[in-house]
Amino acid sequence: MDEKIEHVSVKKSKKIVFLIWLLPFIALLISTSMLYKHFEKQGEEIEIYFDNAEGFVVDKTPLKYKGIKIGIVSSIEVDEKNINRFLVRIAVDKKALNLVAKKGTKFWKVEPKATLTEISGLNTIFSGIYIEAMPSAQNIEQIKDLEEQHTFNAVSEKPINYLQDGLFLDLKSSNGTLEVGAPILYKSFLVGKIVKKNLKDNNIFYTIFIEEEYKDLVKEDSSFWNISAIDLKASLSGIKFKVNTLASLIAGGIAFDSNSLKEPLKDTNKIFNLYSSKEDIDYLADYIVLKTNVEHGLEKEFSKVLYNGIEIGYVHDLSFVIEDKQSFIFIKIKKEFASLLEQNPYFELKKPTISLEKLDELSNVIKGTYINLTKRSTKKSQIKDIYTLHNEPIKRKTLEIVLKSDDTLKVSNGSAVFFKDIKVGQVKNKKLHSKSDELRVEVEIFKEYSYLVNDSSIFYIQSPVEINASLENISFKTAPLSGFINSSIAFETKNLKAKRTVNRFYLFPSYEKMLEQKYFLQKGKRYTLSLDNANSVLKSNSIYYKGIEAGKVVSKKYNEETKKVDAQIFVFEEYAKYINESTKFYSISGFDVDFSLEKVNIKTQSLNTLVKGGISFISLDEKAKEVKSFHTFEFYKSLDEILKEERFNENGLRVVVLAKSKSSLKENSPIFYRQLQIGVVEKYNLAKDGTSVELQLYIDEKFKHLVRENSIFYNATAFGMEISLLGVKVTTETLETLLAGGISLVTPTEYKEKAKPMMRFPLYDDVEEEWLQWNPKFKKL
Amino acid sequence: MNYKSDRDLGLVLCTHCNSVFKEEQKVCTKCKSKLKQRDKYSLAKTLSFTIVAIIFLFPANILTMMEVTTLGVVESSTILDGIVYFFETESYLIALVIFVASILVPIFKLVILIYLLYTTKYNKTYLAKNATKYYRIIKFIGKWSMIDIFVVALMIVMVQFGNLSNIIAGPAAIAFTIVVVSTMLATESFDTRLLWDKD
Repeated sequence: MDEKIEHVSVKKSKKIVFLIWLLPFIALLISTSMLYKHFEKQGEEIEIYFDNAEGFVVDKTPLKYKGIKIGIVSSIEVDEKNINRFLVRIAVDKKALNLVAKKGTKFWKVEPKATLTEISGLNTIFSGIYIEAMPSAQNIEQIKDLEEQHTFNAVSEKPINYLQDGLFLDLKSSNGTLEVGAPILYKSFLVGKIVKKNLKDNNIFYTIFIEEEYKDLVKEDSSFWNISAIDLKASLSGIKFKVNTLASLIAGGIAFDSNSLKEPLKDTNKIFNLYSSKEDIDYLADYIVLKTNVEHGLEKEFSKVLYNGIEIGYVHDLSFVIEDKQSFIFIKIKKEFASLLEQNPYFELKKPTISLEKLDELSNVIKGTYINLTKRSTKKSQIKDIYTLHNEPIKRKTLEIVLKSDDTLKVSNGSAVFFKDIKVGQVKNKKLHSKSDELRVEVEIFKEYSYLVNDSSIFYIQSPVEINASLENISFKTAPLSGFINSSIAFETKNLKAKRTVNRFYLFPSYEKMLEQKYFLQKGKRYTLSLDNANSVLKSNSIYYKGIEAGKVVSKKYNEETKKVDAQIFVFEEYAKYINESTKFYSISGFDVDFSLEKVNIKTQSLNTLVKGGISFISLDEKAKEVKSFHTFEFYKSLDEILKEERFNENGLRVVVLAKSKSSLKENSPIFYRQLQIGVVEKYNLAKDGTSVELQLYIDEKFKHLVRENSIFYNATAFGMEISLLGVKVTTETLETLLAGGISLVTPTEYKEKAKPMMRFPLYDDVEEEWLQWNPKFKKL
Repeated sequence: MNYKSDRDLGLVLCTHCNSVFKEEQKVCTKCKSKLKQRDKYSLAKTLSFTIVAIIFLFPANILTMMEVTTLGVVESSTILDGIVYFFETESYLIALVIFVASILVPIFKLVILIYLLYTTKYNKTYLAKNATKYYRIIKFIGKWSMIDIFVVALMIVMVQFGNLSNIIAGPAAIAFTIVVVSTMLATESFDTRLLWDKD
């Protein structure tokens, strides 16, 4: 048993001893693994030469790759061969060694940097500077294939393509105002930045970086321009103020634009031109040199070059040669107008002058002196190196015509002459005729437009605004703006094919007058109307024939001889044929109320004539003799008057009745026979002795046999009232006569001879019952 | 030197309550702890722990004790770096304290332990008195070596400001702790009574 215990005890002790000695082995294992891990990290040293080792601290300054520490500066010493160089040894972590200790790897110092466009390396303010590494290739396989290298020269700044995919482009510029880091904008959107700037062959080259996702925006024909911080444009028409991004406000920037339809840029080595402003893109790259020896007063950058009033360029530079007093002007012309240079251009210096007469060139006064370009021929001509700047306007071949006018005109020398709002000439001179007070305006029409002037041309003054208001419409007519302040002359040519036989024309003082003239120039005839008074007829009143406009009143004049007003009228030829001796003219002004107990009939002509009045005519006999022009016609107040007159012809019978009073009778009061109208009261007047009123009655031709020597006339207005025991008996003619009045005729059954014209009859006030019983039977005529 | 050991007298000492019993007694009557006249694995245990401590002494001094991250910059320092740092900043007292506590003391302890083992193994009883004196010293200072670990632990807890400033313990801290703990264990497992045994 003891043995057994002994055995167990020995076994146990062996186990304990084993455990005790196991401990150091485990410790050794752990310890070595810890140390191994540590030393494995330690890696190898690489050597980098820096031009400036400021801020490097041994064992502290790290080497980083994309922000991760991969090594640490282990020593710094001055280079043995070059005292301006420092050898910095860096202990690189073993794992990172394969990444950075390769050919082409770039190392640079990262330190806090604050420029206008960027603030970077801010973290290094606290943490201290560090060294950044960038392998020359982007993927592991490529890096693996690279040769190993342990000595490097540091680069001075962050490589431009650091960690970025994108497009790098070179731009050529003549000035270097832009800073590295300045933005690249596409439609004001930031797509990249300037990464490098250097001077080469007297040109500044900018390297710009465009981010990967935007690189397709650059096309073969993209144009780049410098965006100045503040774009301020002030002119008479307004102020345009444009600020690009805030960053570009200080450091400037580059904007670009492309034709979006084009293919993206393929050749990334292409060097683009950087224009100094967006406007510059539009201009030809080369200057045009003008030579002059007059004092020009042009201003660099400000003076403009105009063509037909359109700005096509500007004065870029000026120079003066003292010896021969020659001024050279360098101008830039927009690309789109480059073709003008091939058309024998004529450069003219234009200096603005201020005068009250020439207020219309106000804009030029503010524009200042400018150069005007005109093309002399449409044929192609050689582009010259140096052009002459002329001081006087180009002599244009012109057609000279003379315009006569009675009115004072607001046109002045130089006033434009327009044809359909296009300037085709100008006023050359304005003077009085030597013998009369007639004003003569000499006008020159440019040769190319001379075909527009012929005998059918009508000239008129175009005043700034003309308002023509009528019941029909209101029309405004404005002359072109340049004629706004001053009047200009315009003309119309009715028939371009007409010949030109004269060079003197009448100048109408206004558009309206011209229109009038134009109206009367149409084919037609003129007649004269004799009016008692001119109130109802206005000048320019229209003449209507069956409601259709057939002409117009031309003028009215008082006629000494007839003591009447003569109105001259114009009737179109197509209507003039209806005018003959039987034609009657009458006023259709106002309205015509036909009032009877049966109905009220209001008759008006068109609303237009209601207010303005008008004249209409009627030809009673189509076969009547034709009349010559300027035949004088009587004028009637209304159509009824004509009809009445028609009725009262010589064929009827005229008798006179004597009434005690006029009572309700008046002209046109009807005459009744058996309550049928047979005539009218033609006129009435007081008898010479004053004892009665003489009413002249007219009995129609058809009814004149009814009037006999023993006929009796009585006032039909009157009504008899007989009061008897049987009742009240009222006797009256028709109700109509009760109101309007009228005369009734009765002839006894035993009638006598026919009444003679102008026979006198008494007018009875009351009717006798016996008369109503009369029932004569007339023999056939 | 003439003396009689407990073995000579047939007695056994309770290492917990210092009571003395007869050799045959297995359990202390007072404190119920096991009674052993001699710990026969004492030497082996002490030697083993000493070796462990020596092994870990290397990583403890070579590896980083502390990693201080300030604004993303990691600065790792070993024990020696710390001493150099304080020395350079002219905090000599702190430098001295750290040097003594972290480097001198562990090495001193190990040297003493080896000395103790040597005297015991080769029965240099004439050195026993001296050795006991040293044993008492290392037993006393043993726990003070932990001061370094405490400092690191304290720093880790106190300096936790995220990205601004951050401290984490390095692998050396673990190694150092092992060194200190194993020296303490070595000291504890050493049976001083062996020093006095003549055979």
